[in-house]
Amino acid sequence: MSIVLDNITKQWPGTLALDGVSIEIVEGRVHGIVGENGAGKTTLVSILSGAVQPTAGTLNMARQPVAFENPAAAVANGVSLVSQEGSLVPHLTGAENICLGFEPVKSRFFINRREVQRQAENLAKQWFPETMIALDRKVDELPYADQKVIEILRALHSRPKVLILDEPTATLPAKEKQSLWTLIRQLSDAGMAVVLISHFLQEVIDLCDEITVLQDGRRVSHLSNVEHDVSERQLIDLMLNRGQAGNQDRLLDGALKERNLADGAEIVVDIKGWQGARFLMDGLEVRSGEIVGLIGLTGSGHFEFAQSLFEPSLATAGEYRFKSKDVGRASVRDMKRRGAALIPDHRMINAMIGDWTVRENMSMAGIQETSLRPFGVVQNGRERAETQRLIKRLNIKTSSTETKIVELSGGNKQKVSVAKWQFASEGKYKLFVFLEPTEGVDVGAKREIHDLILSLAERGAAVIVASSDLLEVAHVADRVVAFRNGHAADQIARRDFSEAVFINAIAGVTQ
Amino acid sequence: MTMTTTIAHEKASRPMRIGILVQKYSTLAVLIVLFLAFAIGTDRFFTGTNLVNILQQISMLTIVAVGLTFGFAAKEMDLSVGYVVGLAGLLAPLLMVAGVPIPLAIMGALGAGLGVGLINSALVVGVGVPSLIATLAAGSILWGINFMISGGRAIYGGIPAEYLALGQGKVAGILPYPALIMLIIVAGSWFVMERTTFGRYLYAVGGNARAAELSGIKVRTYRVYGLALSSLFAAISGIILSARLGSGQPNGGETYLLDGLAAVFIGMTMLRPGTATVMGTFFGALLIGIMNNGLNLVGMDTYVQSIVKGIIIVIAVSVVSRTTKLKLL
Repeated sequence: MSIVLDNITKQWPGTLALDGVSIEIVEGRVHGIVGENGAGKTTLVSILSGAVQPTAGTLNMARQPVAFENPAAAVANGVSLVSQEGSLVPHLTGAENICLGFEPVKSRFFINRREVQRQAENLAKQWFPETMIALDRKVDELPYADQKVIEILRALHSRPKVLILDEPTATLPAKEKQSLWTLIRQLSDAGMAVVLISHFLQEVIDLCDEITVLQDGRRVSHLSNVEHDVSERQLIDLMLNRGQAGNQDRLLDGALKERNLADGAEIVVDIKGWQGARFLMDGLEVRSGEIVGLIGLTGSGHFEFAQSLFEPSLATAGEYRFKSKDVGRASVRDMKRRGAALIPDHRMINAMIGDWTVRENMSMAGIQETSLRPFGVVQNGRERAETQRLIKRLNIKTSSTETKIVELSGGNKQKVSVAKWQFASEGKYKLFVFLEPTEGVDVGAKREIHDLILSLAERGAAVIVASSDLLEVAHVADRVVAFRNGHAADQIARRDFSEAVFINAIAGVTQ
Repeated sequence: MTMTTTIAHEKASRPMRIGILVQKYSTLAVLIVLFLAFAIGTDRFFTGTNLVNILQQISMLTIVAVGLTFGFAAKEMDLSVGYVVGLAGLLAPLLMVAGVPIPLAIMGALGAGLGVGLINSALVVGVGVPSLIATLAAGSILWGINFMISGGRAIYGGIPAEYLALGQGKVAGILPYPALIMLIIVAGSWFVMERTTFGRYLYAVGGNARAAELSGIKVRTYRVYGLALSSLFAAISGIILSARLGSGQPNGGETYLLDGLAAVFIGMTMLRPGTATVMGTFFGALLIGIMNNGLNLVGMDTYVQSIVKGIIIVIAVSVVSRTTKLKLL
């Protein structure tokens, strides 16, 4: 049975996520959906799986219009989603996870464990007869690929006709991907309609029978019979919709100027063979005044690497010299003392105290500087004056220093998060690590934060910006390091910046 | 910022502001109403002697509650304080009866209290046991120890008069020493919590431990401080208790845990709603003290007092929970 999306539109407040998209998903075929971040893939998946309702347009199954008010309705109609994030309960066994919510019972109240195991094994045997997975083990003891297979089996438990796989290989090590690809092919060979969302373009080309390309919420092209003759290059061109008039590379619109670094600028960060659970950086030098952008797909390790520059205990091996001194596994506190600062992502979780005022949040890292030694008696007047100075300097919109931080907009909260490291500490910090610097920030404030990042570098700090916004990175960075599968794979110089180069680098296309 | 946005902003948040205002001062209003009611209702309440008496009665409770406040600030709850009061209140008399000089006996009792706090924090910060559970277990152990070292009997006879003066004497014949010690401790703790970086860091750890850590604050150390001070203050209270009673009682401090928590909870409805503050806790203890004293004067039985107190705790915690995100575990 096929499912047809007819002219689907989804309007979010302020953005048009999908604009009249039509797609036909056919049984026995793998249908790939590709596009950049923000192209509308996630919204499309949410609509297909019933998590989100379209603003306009219809879904048809077997020529009958259907409406999925919630995910359960989608499942009842035969559409199952295997989501990107792990949806398994770690300390239950594979079999228990597969039957979760549909447990066979005996005597009305007790879970029939033997039946759970049997159902799970039958399901596995039916779909993947050649694969051996220990369904009686707790899932957190299994390899990632096996966990993914269990997630797929769990989605298959409700006997769906359409299976959506959202970035199924994003978290898998390279050698485990291969086995999953085989399984996906087996699904469609057995007559299942499969929707595959993936950033890995070669994977999409190898696996899919047809591919729909989305850009800015619109369907820009559809390849109905994919053979291996489609190249990644072609696909990227389609994703960026180039070759059409007026659709130039957006990065090149604002002329890219190389910034000149002072000769002999001090090397602030010097890294060799630095690795942690999810990243490996062979070597990186960042000089004073330089901004290095880190890009990668979700889970590719660039955020973890950036974080480890401030929290070296996240690394398990390698050498990190900060201002020519070996860091070892220094604590956060020690890194701060040496002159490193972190402006983390998810600021309300990692940087702010919600029921504190702007002043209290801003002075959190530097209050000892305006206090009387040796007992640290807080000088209210000095604290307030310093807060006032930074509110002016960073143009923070707040009614007073005593306003609660939660009352500020995202952009202004973010400015406070930056200002924290300048509180009575002007020039003290030589390294600023930014994670998603403009997450949840409106357009106007975005520019101000970019200017702020640039001005930090101008005043001699080394800056690391890890972001999933490629335009942002292109705008501020002097060079870019692209991460793939936890590995810092490519370095890109500013003169070579372009969207295509960035996407090639993070998706792993050889040029 | 332009005028228009300022005005719009204030308009939007006015109802909320009023809500917080009502909450901030409702507890104070209850305190005043209670005070006036007893003052008018009985002729023995509003007298100099009785008011000093109230201060004296709440002194040990207040000291325990202020200790709890340090723990609460770092989001750690110490359920062992009642038994630490008992431990210190037994150890000091025991040591003195055995001939140890007063200062050393006091140091010994304080040291034992601090020791309990450090063991608690080793479990909580080092091993990772939630403080509620670690201190509950510690309390159970201490209860047993208290009966073991005392043989289940009160310790008296041979306690020097100078020591007893600590609980029974008065400054210039007016202000009892326990009340004086309490006032000094409240003032000192207020200063430390509100006017020093120590207090700011402690509150930061309780407010958002991850943000505090990423700002370079020694989160683990401050959690230890919170629990250690909580036990130390309980030990101070225990020393005063034994001096006041003139003996060490194996189950002397048990009521202080519940009353102390009540004082902190009531205090959390005031000043900075949802946050334990020293002044809030002091007012909370005062409210409990006035209520106990007044109900006593009216001739109400102690078990009725207990019911009234329980109801007040429920109301206080309900008020805080409704308007703020009160997370204790």
